[in-house]
Amino acid sequence: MAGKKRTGPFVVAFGGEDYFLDRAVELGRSRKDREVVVLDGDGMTDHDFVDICEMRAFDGTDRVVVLDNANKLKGDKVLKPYIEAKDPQDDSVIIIAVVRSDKLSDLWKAAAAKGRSDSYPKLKPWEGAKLQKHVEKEAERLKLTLGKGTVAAFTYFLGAELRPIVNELRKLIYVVGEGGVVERKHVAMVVAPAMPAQPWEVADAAAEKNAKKAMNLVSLLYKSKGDGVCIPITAALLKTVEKLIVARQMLDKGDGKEILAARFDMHPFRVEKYLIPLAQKHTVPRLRVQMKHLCKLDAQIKGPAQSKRTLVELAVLSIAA
Amino acid sequence: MLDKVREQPEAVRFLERVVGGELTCPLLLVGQEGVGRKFSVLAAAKQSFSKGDANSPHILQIDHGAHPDVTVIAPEIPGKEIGIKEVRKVIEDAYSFPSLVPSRYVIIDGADWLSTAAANAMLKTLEEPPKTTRFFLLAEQSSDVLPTIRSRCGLVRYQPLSEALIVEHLDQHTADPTKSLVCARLADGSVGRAIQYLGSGRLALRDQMTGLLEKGLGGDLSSLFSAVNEVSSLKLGLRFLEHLLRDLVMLPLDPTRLTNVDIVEKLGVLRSKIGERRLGRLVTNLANVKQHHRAPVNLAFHVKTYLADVFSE
Repeated sequence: MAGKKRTGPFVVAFGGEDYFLDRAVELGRSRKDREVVVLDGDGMTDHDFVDICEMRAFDGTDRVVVLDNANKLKGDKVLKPYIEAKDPQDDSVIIIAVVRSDKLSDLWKAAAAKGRSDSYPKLKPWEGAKLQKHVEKEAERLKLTLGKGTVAAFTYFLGAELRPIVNELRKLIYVVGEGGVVERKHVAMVVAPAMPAQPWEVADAAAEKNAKKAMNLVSLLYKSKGDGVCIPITAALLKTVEKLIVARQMLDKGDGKEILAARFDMHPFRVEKYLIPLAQKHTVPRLRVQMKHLCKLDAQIKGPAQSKRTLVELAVLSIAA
Repeated sequence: MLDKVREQPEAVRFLERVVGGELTCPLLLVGQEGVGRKFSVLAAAKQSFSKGDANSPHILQIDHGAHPDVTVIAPEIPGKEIGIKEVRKVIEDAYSFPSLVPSRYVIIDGADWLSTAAANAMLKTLEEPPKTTRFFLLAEQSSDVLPTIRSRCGLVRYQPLSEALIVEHLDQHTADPTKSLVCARLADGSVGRAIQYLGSGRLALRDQMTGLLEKGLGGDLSSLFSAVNEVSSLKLGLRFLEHLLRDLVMLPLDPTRLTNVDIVEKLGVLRSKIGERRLGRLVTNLANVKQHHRAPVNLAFHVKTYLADVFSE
């Protein structure tokens, strides 16, 4: 249990996997040995936060302050010196900061250096083995046994996000009974299919020059998420085109898959299987023109432009053409 | 106290009328950051509250930001909007009677950063301000302020400060006259900005931008894009890049008017490598990027596009 071992005054949990971050909040909230304060950093200033941290319980009980959305805390002028001045041995007040972002700011890095940091990066769709391990662990916690292919069925319906999968596991307790075995048929029975597309899939389909697939995905995304989806689609297009132009130029220079893999921080197998075939479908001058178009699109969709969906569709078609 | 405000005669004339009680309407003070907008309003407050007594406690309180009748609000973090909560608090204060002096001074440092809701919440108060409250709204450009707010305020324009005055200020902080001159010229007439450049090692950012141009010349997009990702503040970097390009254009025409006088030789080499045609395109493309400066666009991508367009042919 977290309370048994010394953690120092700070525990910083960060990453994009909301399920684990929520658990970090819950673990802090359920501490029985200390007075617990749970705060939300969204809309809070660092001044107010430090004020609360510095308060003492009337009876001198040790305290734990859980700060959710720590990345949204406003300002650092008061918090920075507070962290600097904190004695790493003094855990009379433990601050559990939950940073809902893959990157830690310098402020929270400094805090983690005086305590502990737990990283919970969002699982990627191709990290099947990791996902399998996590899902099995959660099933075990819920006293369920998973049958063959169950995790694959979950990812097919829900993607690689752990939280919806665990939610479905909780429902499945009522279907198979406590201690029962979950089979694929049970998953198919209970799980409601989630959003069938992700913005990066649109960018990938456009880069593959598969206009039909890309347009279908855009349509599905709009149906499920509405007009707001044009910003993540554009961001995905920006990222993909930037990657493609660099990859294509490197290929033209004669760089091999290992060099590309190092540049993009990817496995050489994925570079060969995925990136190189995509980059070979484009040319540097054409991609340069695409970058210019995307700049215009980026400015338009973040401004008061009308028919944003059409603008996004035009950009997708222009890349896929 | 207003005699300490330098090179802003128009603003001083307006503020003297405020101190004299002739002018009570809200004022929109327009000028770039660091030209003395807030300084002059605080000077007016000191003059008005102390009634010429140089030892008045009001002066000390204002200097320490602790005067109960002087309220200043600004974005909590530069680049973020001022929200409706802060504005409601100010409006509430504005209608309460001043504690120590006959009139309360309210300074909104960033009227161009008021959220739409916050700006709309202020309209009624600005239309008929309480008799005991003077409002001063500070903005970099009047066009960025809601028209309905603009129309309710008297407009006071602040001029960029002279190079000589900025250098005089900077010389108090450094013994290196060349560095003073570079910072003064980079600051475009803002003493506040010049002090920031001098003190915070931001000139290193200018060297990073020079590095970007050099990397671009190599034509390797991979290293160029990585270098763009490493720039800590692209907004400020673009300002420095603008000065660099201006210098590259000016170099053969009038070398005495260069901003980056400490790297003239480097600029000469860079200019010969870049060439006239590419230099022209760099200037045009930078103007395009700057169009979207204030919008929440992906600035890194825009800069990469701009540089790739020129250097990857």
